[in-house]
Amino acid sequence: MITPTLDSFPCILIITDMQTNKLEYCNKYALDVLGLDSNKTTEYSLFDIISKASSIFFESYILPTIVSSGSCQEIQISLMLNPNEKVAAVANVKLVESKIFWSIYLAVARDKLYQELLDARGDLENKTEELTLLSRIDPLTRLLNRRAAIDDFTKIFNLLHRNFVPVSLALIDIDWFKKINDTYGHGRGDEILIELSSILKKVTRTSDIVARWGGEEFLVILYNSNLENTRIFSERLHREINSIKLAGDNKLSISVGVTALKIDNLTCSNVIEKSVKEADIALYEAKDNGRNRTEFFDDINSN
Amino acid sequence: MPFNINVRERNNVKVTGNGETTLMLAHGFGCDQNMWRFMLPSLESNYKVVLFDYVGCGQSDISAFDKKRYQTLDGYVQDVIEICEELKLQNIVFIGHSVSSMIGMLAALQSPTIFSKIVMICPSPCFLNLPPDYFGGFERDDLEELITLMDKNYIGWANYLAPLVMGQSNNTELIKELEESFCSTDPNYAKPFAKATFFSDDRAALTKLHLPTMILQSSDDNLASVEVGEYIHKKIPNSVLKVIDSQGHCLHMTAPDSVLQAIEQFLG
Repeated sequence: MITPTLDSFPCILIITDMQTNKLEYCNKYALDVLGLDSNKTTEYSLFDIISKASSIFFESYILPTIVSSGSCQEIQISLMLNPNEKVAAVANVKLVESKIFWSIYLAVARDKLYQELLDARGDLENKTEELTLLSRIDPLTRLLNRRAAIDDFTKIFNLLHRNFVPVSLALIDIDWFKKINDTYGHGRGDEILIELSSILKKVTRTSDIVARWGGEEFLVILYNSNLENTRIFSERLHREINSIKLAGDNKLSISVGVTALKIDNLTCSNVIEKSVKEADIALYEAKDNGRNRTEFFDDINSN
Repeated sequence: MPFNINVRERNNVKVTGNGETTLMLAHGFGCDQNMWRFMLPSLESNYKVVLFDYVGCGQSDISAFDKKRYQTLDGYVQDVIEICEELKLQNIVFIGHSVSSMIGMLAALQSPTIFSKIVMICPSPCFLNLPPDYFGGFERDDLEELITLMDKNYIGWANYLAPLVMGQSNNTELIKELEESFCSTDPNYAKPFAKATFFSDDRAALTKLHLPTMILQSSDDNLASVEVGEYIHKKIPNSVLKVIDSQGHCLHMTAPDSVLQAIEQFLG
């Protein structure tokens, strides 16, 4: 009959001193696995048997935790089997007076599974991000699509409740787009949509929302922009768009309808539809007044 | 979507204290503005003090967390610059712990009028060993393992911490204090900051910093060694180096009085 002792257990059992970090006890299994010299046990330090990253983890997490609550369970660390070989291990750690009691199991297989899980989580996160992006972007122009514009507008709008800043909406429509398609072909029509989109990107800031609202219709939401700033913006926009040449002296032009978000409307449930509707009325006015121009809903209303 | 709508709210900005000189205190990775609490009472009586949390840390508005923006130190640099713009701060003194020393330096280079002086507490421009000229203390493998350990010790992450922190024989009271200041940080936000912190190499920017700079290095810090402090001192033209006899990587917690004294002397 074998007398069971701590040396009989297939588990690394060690005791270290909290002040000196010296090894004060080490069972036989630990000696074997860690390749320690049984005659020199007390010369070893905790930092000789755990990896450098584990030492930092010990100082920054394990030590404060055991000092505060006495023990710490299921902590993953890396053991150094020799200066070049690291293996994953799981430790339960307990502080008794100034001595730290460790029971440590090798966890190579568990670590492999963990790693696979982490990789899978990383892949899933990346895929989700990719899909989210795809679901928000108009594939031709790379601008936001209508749904993303509404989502982002809703976010801005929620923040405006707390801190109102002026916001303008500009609904943009390409003049004579059907004719352009018929005359120059759909390929050229697509190119024009792309060129116009890159101009929209250029003349707006990152805090603005720029979206393809429908076929040849675009919505720009200018954050922290009052009507005066938006007037300047639209003048620049017309100039830039006019630089797109169709054929000969024919230049591309757009009509724009602008409205300012009203603070009183913030409480309405359909503020987005309402604001877009206002911009749309102004856009019709711009078309009626000969195109290649911007009209402001607030001007139409006050007349 | 960078909606920088309310910077004060986004970065949990607090302005406190009275004095002609304004100090901005910037916490390091894994911490938040609470880490300054041992120094704050003294500072408040002599200076105006600006405190904040980087987005993703402490009580910041996590909905403002943009993975792309915060995957390099530049996102955190923008936080600092935007807070200065919002509060219309010019020529103030920036005090950064650990990685924030580098964030402050990069902010000063991008926006040259916001700071007049910089104090770096336990800085390191690069944690990697890049022989033969530079020894940041770690092999890439060590740092990757550290980030993996944070990931695999889920509980550790969930209330992740005042990082990398204490020396090995600090007193129990202080260690306990630290445990209480573990920050509840979501790994989704902490991990990008950890990566940006550990894998940045900002050595090239050091020589471009011409502001009067004080480097406070701990005499026994396994994250940012005295040699790293000497390297920074050599590279930043207008700098002084003070080595404070203490342990660990959080001088502002382990030796707040020495840090305060050095700051007072430096600011004159």
